[in-house]
Amino acid sequence: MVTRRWAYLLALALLGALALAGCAEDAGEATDDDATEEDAAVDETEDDVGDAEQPFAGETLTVLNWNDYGSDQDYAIEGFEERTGATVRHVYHSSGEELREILRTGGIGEIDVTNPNFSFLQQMVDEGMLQPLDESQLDNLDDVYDDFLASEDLYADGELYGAPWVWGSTGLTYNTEHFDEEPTSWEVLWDPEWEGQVGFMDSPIEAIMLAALYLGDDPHDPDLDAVREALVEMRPNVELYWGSSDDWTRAFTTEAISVGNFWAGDAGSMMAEGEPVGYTIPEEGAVGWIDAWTVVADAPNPELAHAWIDWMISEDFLVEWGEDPAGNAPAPANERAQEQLSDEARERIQAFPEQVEDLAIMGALTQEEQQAYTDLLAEVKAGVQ
Amino acid sequence: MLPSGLLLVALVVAPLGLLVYFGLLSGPGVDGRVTGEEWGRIAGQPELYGRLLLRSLGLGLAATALTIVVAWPTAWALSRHVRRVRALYLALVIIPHLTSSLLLIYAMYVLIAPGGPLMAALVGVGLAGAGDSLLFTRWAVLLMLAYLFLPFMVIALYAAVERIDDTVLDAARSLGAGSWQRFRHVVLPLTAPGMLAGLVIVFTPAAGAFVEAQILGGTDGMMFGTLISEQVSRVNNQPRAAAMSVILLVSILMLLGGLRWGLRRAFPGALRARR
Repeated sequence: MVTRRWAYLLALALLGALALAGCAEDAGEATDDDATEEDAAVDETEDDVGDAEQPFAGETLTVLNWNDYGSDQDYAIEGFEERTGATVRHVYHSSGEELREILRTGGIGEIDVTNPNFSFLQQMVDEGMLQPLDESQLDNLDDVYDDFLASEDLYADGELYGAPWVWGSTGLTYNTEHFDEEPTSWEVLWDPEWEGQVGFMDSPIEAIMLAALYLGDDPHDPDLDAVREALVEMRPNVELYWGSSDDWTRAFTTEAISVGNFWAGDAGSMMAEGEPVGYTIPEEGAVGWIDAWTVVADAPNPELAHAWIDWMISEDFLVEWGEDPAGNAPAPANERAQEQLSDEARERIQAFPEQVEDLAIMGALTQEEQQAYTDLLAEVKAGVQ
Repeated sequence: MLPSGLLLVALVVAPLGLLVYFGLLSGPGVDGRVTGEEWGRIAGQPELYGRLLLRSLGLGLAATALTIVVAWPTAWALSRHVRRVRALYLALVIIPHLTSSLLLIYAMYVLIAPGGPLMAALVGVGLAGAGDSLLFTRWAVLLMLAYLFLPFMVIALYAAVERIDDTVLDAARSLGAGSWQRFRHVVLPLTAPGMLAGLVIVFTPAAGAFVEAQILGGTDGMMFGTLISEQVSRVNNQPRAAAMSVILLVSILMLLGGLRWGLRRAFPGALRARR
């Protein structure tokens, strides 16, 4: 009898623990200060109460971002905490879609700032997830490339919603040990020679724009039937539809994949670590992206949020991030920061402004387009012919 | 009676009702009118939705079968052969699963990656070629799901095996039943309730799983659950996700009903109301 009771207790403990583990995963939440750092921050704030230099002492800023994407670097957090006296807390997401999902399910009212991909910005404004930026609180906006600030997708009803932070491309990335010379065309992804060795990004908009570029079609208004056909044709070559930088890196370093489309900043970072990675913008061009910081609707600390964004887009931070070999930085959208980068850093983070001409920048999609794109890629991934 | 009834309504009936209702709306979000158009769209594409539903149910069944095959002898051994250190063994079965399932998935990734320990061993004994790997195949997903839900099945079967009275086995022996006959006609039927309980708690989550397949399954990693998740996260098409959830739920219930019927036929009298 006693043993039986034990068995049930254990079973209950197991079920409870699994349920808890599930919850923790779902929330995807973590603060990056460990206990000691947190203590230090608290001490600091106590010392500096009333200090005019630290107008936000005691406040906590909640940032929603990718894990290990600049904003959670020690120097990013410490630099901001020194300037403002506030404490920074991070909540992580693992995809642009999850970002919006977190906001939809309780993030609004809790999260202050986030940096959605350009292509999601309009829809997020429509869904009431964001508030317009107060440009008077963002001095460093003056240094951002005019070309980026001229993009219509950053505005709604004439008001600015996103402050361009970094930009990059999703270029052709390959294992230099498996390629004798640099491939010059996306055609390599369809080449039977690379059957079962392609890592292709699991993102409807990237997949469809890339296929359109390959087909010589307009990436912003492609013929979806032709695109579907091309993606189905590519499928035997695909080993993995990757969803995150981790997915790609793990598959690449175990040599499960040799070639595919991958983000410039992450590829450059792998190069710096000595991985046999090559990165190129092929002759057809590549899909490009801009990440912009936004203030979430009902942000608990809107002024602090603006201070954070001004820090994130500042020359000081962007140069420090770009020069950090372990930082995974993309190219800065701040012109003065780009000029100050060392040649080594510029190569590593692929900060070449002249590439912008070859890029098809992902823009906003209508709800109908998003539905069509999502369904199309789902069919391709499911193996529907 | 009344408070518990209210709890049931609030926590079970109402959410299920809402799920069915959301499935009838027109998307995106859940502010649209009742049109039922998403059901039409799903029905119009059986080659996508039907294909993935069959894949998910099939994988769930295979994973469940695998857990029964491994868990039954484990439960028997726990109950009959290691009585003195049984709690320790049970704890050892369970402890690895007290961690985040994501960690277990990545652990499996390392195990089955090309050149990883499992593949190296298989190459060593000549069962696999040097470049082969289970990673990014449906076998990886099956292995993962079976591993993930194994403790549930062990505990369900252990509870059933433990309940078998030794005197029943003595009686069968004294009546001349051989060891196979005792297993087939006494022991196995008596564990049928445990198998049924295990089926419910393993098959249900396994058929709805998608994270495991996403990480380990490569191009075979698209599940019915993946499709539900994408409809919510990528396009906020909650009505379609709700309709698909209803389809998955009903399919799982029907399959479980069929399996229960099958178990009853296989072991007459074993699944009557007990005590």
